Amino acid sequence: MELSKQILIGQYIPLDSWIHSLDARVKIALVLVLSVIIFFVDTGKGLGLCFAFLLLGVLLSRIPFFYFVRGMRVIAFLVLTTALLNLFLVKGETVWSWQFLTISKEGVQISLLMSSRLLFLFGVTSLLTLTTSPIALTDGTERVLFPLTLVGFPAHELALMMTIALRFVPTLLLEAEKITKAQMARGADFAPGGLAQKAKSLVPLLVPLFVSAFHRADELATAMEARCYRGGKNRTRMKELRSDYNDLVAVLLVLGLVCLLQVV
Amino acid sequence: MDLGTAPHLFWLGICVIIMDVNSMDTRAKVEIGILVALALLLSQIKLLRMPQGGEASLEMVPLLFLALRRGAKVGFLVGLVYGPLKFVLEPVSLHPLQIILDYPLAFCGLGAAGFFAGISGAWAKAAGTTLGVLLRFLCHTLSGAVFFAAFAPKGMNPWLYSSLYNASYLAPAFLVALFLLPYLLRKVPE
Repeated sequence: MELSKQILIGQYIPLDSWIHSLDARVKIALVLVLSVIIFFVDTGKGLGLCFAFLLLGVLLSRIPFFYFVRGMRVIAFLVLTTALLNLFLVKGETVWSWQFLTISKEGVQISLLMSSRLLFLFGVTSLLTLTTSPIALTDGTERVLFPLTLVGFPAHELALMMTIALRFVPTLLLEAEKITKAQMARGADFAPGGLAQKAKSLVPLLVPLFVSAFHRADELATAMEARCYRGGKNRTRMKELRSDYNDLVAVLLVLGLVCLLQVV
Repeated sequence: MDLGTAPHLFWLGICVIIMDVNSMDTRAKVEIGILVALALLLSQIKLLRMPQGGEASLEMVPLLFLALRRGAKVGFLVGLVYGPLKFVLEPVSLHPLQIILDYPLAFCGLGAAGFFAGISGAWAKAAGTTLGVLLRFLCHTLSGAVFFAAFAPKGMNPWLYSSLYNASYLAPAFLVALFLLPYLLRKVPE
């Protein structure tokens, strides 16, 4: 059971592109704007514009187009179900019928609209996570949520915990692998079986893994306190997020899209 | 858009009120971070895979473990950290409200298991686990209904489909957690 071969955490592809270089905060904000806007688009032209914009994003990100499309298979089932349900169940002017199945003109339109919206929503979020490292994303989220700290929302603490989590996934993965091998050497059987069998066989892995996780937490907490960690207040950063004119261009591009959508 | 807004605001309210994080010691914050890492790792060990994309994994075990050991406050927080991270790592975005329900809120729901943290006995652990998973199930079901309301034609029964689909992968994961948690809580020292 080679865990590290099966496990791939995150989707980030480190490339040197214009989209990659944008500030994480700006990217998060723009994705939010785009995912709300798509619900107001209900014409073919509008959808075409949105997809052209998404395509431009993918091209600018230098992520191989087929790789991007392959990532869409996660929601293929949902898109297909949505399309079929709308196609057959929306009533209107009949264009085709066979036995109890009828397709209406409205059904075709709504089916296309709904599945396009789904694909676009999934596409823009994928573009964000493909081009932004998880650490930059948590950092960006902390800044985006900053206004909420005024009402007591613990944005810094949440970002700290997320960063610790991301940092420790590879460490725990190595640990899990070591434990698995040690237990197999003692005769543990991790072979696949039924659900109960599988759950039972994982006990010799989980107990030492939990114990080791708590040990690590203890060590890290002591190390942080020894360095006088006292939460987010007045804390400085090693890497500051900086916006430049590229981010302004990205904002203007999205604004341009919004204006164009108003016109068509 | 209005479907589910009330529970989502309600939950967010609970989280903000309960999470007086500043009073929490560094150790608790670090424990949350590391157990979330463990949950992310365990989410990759699949027990069952459904054809529609739902998966039964062990991800709930560390989250429920921490809630049952440290109480509901930590439990809610651990969900609030895990949910958004899961979204960042494997996003499935279909609707803005669906994202909020499926990620932060659903995993926050698991934290309710912590209401049984102070009570000893195996039944309390089982009751906590059941309550937590039930709340997570409700969030996913509501999110499914939001999805149907936004994308499916009128006249379908979204609740039935949504609850059947979510139960199909949550039930096995729940049973496994129910079996493993009392054992882990006994074996892993405080």
